[in-house]
Amino acid sequence: MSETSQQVEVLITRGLALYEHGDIDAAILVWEEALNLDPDNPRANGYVDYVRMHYEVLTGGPANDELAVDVPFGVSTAKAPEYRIAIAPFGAAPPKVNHTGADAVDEGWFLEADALVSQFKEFEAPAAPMQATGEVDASSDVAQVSGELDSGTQVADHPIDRVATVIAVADDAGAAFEMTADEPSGNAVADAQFDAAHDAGAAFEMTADEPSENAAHDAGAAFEMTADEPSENAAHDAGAAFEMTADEPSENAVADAQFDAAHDAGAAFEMTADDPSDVAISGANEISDFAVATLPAAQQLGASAHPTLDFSDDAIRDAAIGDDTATQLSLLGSGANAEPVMGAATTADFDALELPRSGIEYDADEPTASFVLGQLEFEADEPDGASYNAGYAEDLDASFGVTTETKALTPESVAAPVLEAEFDSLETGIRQRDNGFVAPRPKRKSHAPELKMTLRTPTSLDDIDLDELQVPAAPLVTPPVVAPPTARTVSRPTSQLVGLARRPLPLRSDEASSPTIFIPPATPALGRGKTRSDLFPVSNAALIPPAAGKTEDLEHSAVAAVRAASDQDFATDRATPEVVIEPLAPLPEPLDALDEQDEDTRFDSAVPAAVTQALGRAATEHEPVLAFDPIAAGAATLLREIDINMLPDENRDDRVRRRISSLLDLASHAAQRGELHRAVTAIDLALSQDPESALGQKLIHRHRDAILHVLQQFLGDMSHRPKVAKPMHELNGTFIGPRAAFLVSRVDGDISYDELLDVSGMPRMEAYRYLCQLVMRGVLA
Amino acid sequence: MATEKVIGIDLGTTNSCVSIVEDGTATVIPNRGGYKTTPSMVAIAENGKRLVGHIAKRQAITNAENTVYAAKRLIGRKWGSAAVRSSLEIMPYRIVEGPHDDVRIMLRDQVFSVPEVSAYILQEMKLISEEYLGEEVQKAVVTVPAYFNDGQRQATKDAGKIAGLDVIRIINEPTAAALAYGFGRNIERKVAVYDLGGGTFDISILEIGNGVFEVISTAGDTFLGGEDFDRRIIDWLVFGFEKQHGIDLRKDKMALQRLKDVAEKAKCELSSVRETEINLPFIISTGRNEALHLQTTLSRDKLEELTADLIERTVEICARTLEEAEVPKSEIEDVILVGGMTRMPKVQQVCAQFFGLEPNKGVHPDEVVAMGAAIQGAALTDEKSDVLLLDVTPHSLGIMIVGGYFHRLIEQNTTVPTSESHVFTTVKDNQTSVKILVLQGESDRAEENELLGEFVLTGLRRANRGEVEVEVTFHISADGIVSVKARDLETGLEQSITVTATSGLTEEELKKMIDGNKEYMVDVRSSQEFEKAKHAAEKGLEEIEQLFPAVTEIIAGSDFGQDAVKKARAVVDRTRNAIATKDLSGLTEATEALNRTLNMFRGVVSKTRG
Repeated sequence: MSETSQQVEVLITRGLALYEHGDIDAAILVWEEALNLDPDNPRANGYVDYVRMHYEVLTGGPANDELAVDVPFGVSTAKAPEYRIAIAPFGAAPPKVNHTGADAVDEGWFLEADALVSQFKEFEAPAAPMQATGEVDASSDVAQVSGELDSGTQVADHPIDRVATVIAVADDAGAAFEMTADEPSGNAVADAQFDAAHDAGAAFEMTADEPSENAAHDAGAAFEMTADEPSENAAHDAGAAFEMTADEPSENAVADAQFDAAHDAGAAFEMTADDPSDVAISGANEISDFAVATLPAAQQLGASAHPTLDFSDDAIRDAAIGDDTATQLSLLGSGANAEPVMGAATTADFDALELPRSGIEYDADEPTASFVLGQLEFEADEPDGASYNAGYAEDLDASFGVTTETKALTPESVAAPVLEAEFDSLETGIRQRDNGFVAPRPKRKSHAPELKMTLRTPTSLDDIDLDELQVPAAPLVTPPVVAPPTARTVSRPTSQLVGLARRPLPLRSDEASSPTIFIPPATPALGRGKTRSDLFPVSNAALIPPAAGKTEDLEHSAVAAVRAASDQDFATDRATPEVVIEPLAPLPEPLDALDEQDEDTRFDSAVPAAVTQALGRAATEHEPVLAFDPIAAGAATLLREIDINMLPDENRDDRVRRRISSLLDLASHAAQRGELHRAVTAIDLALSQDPESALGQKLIHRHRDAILHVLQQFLGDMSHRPKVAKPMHELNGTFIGPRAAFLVSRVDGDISYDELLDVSGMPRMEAYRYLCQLVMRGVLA
Repeated sequence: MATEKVIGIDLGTTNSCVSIVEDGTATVIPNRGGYKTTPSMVAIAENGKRLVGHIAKRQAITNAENTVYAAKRLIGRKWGSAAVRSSLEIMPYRIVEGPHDDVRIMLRDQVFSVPEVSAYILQEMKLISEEYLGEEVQKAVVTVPAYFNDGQRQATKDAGKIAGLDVIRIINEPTAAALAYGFGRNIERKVAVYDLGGGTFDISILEIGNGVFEVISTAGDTFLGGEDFDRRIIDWLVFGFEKQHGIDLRKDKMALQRLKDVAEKAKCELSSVRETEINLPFIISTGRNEALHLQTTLSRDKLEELTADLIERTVEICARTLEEAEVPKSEIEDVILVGGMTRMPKVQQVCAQFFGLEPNKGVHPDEVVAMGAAIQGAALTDEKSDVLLLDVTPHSLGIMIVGGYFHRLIEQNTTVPTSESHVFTTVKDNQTSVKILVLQGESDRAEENELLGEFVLTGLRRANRGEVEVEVTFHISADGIVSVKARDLETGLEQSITVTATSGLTEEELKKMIDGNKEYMVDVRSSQEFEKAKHAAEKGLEEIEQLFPAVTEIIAGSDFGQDAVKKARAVVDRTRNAIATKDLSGLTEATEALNRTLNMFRGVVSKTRG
């Protein structure tokens, strides 16, 4: 084989790998590169042609059954599951690919789902980095999960197997559920997974059935894991808490097999077919008999004591829900008065996921478990309304005890009043989208946990007293250790865990590389309320790895600049540093030649000069000295936030995708919280992400209505007639651009915002954007 | 009993103005922005919204193909007319042929008749006056150029109908100006009305005496006006900028729009100051992060230099008109300046030089025509009024005679009402019928004039040619309605027609347009109401969402509280749904419920948290 042929083969293989990961665009590029070397290569030609022909479908367009069974390569449905769940030591580098792009996302669910998001405003969570990592840890006396769950905006931009994963730990070393949305012919995969999980302890896997055999799957419902009905299931009596039902009992042998295996493992979970008589009842009557699990099942728990759950990778993309999928993980307070505390695309860090080993008590009349419930909810948008509305995702209940804490990652969140929430239980819920709104699903009777959640929202940092946040935990018992304990896990006597709502972990040397984990300081002695410094120690800063090309200095100067702008949304109670009027440049520019530049330069080019200047970098002699610009300063901060999880080898498209999704998501949340300046800044920044590229335009276009809604919300009454507060000739220090200047020139005090849009002579979104910019800059009032 | 209000509308080529007589004084009504004139522009925005007046002007260049200006040049014209031909070449909007040999305008795939477009302007003037008066206005006197023919006048009337106005009289612009000039003054003199507006120039000679206003002669140039002056300034700015930066600003629509605005502004300012600063910051971008500013100074001298030939053209037209009217300059005792451009000192100076007397500055050039129309309107509704307004026919009227010639019965510039008769004979032996072709125009060739109507008089006695005499009588009423009667003098048999000019619209079309316009206005009002309600609802939603967590925390511990929260959420959802579905009545109801809920929430929070 010639050298060229080898190169071509390598490229084709690399393209396939990219394709498998859903990076269709990158795959095409690589194959085209191969074609440059060997224009007649049939494989490369075939792949490129195929992808182009099916581009829309592959990148999240309407589902196509024909395609689903006829995928020629890469995501062959007959193969093993394509999902991947990275299991890596805690603190390791984040997953390689962080797909946050909105390729296949439906038309802006995360911005449209106002009703849902609004419920979560109380929880000040940093912007979702679209990633979740977690750690299942087993020790002799307590199982712990540490890490971060992040619902993110998970997007299916290519039709591969997807898996939704949630950690569920009973009182054993940790039980995990794995649910896979299988490809049509992929039930064998489930078995394999299950087996693996089984070997590791007990794991459950629920798979979607053959589409042709499973109407629920077609409708988008992949699986259902429900609380048992006492009257139907002896397992309930035996203490089993869950029931997993396959939709088509007669056709789904997998369930039985899985159940059996699980049973063998002593799991207290039960997987049933619809017909109770088909169900083998677990003989285990204690939850502690089962459990263990790492995710995915393919990973042997023994291989790593610190598996990382990755919700962000391809794995989360749920094919069962359809290609146009957005996945949402919500953390809910459980119990009768459960209320949502965290919304889509938010982040929760577990610094100590306490997994009680005992206290699992069952009441024949009202089964309850003292472990917490978790529900993982998928929200997806089926390509067509009918199937979408038919519903797809039923309950998936998993449980774990957890102490969570959101992490202060940004200057804003440092200043934000709500920073910490502690739960003795969490519930994540699968919800079903309904006309754009996401409503919590009713809880199953047998699942109603008698757990409570405490969420504190102190109004100022000084008010925070963590002692008040402590919530008694369930009594712990010693579980059998299934997974090998990790040396890095702090073992404690169970007695010490009682009453602790949040378990601090020692700072580890490798944590600095785990960007989203916040390790709080040691719990203060009793009698002393926690102070701000306890919550936000100076050392936190060290935990936040610098995004490419940035330093801490940058952040602080940005904060200073923002504060100097007296922008309410960015206001803090800290002393305002002296404002240095930094030279600024215009608003975000396209990502020019990102790939050709080194990381530092790449960042700079992706960020407007104004932003970098707001971040504190000295202006160069080539940069015009401009006045302070609140938008640029705000943009700098936002970029700082969303780039925290930027991967080192992130390519241009991935970056655009990630940034736009993150920014729009952030904007949605900010708007819901009434932080309209922040929302508009995020949108402004999103609109400046490679605006000339097809990808950028596509992503923006999909969310057009939602973006306009936020911008309009910012402007307020559209019949308001703005006035020029600052004549343009006084704006020499601020670059507003000829088109924005044109809009200003239309303002005569008599023309309303609505009319300005009419006379703008530019696309509506652009006009909205400029109007918002002008208002934020104080040009219009 | 209060008399019905009649507004006077100067429906100009580039600007329109509305006035009303209050307590015996004509008052010009300012529009919403406080301006006394409103651009005669209509545009259809990207979202289908109709833009009229200033707002249309502010996007006229950036949305040129969907913005109609100078519709007056097209109104009532035949598709094949010279004015339409020349408009086709210069207008940025699409002009298409109508079904009745008339002219239509296509905006964003919608076809509008010219009267419809003019109707939108008239409607805007109607709304302005209604807002000012606080009551509905239905009657109006509308002015038209003196040279407008019957078709054009009828089209203007139709425009009024579409706008929901009963146009009780169409009067000539110079007549209206003279009326305002002479109103309340007992004067007898010949005056010249020099009208240099935004798009047209007209000169008229009038004789005023004993409350009678008679137009002796009128002429003009329909393609000469203030816009030409603006264009000269724009060119000067563009060339200067190009010379300095090598960039042609005309290629950028937004830059050009700003140039147009600033040129007009500078032109106006130079009427009162010697020089003005032109400052257009961020006029264009050169590329990455660099904007160029246009900053210069324009002097009055420079403006006069740039526009000297335009002013000279007006003088030439004046001279020709006086000559045709056989009125020596010395007989002109006063010159009334009409139109914004006559504020330009150079124009006044040239006028003074030509007529040999200082122009009258007692009337406001922008407002005088509308005021005259309002005065006429008041006179028409006031029985005690002693104002008598005599107009003239702008064109000669006659019939076609043998050989294809045009025989005038009523000469051009004849004061109306008037009546003229003439006896014709048969041209063939045993001719038993004659066909009367009623024509309007100045050409001796009948075919070159405009056919107003035709009819046949039959039953003539069989006789040798020349023996049978037929008397043809033309009558023009004060409204300009022409009726023609032919009578066999021997038998007394007669046949007649009333020539009713058409605007190119059938009755059915007209009715459809009137109804359509009404519907549009209802939609607009409903949409405005919805937007108001939506805004109020959104404010409430914002507040309630902010209160939700606190209230939930406080009250959700009880069943009652949970129920309350659930209901509140339902109200929020209902409100959002009403907004989403644009259901005004639903939104009104939901907002009421929302406000009640909001009050409850506020109460809960304030009581609990002090």
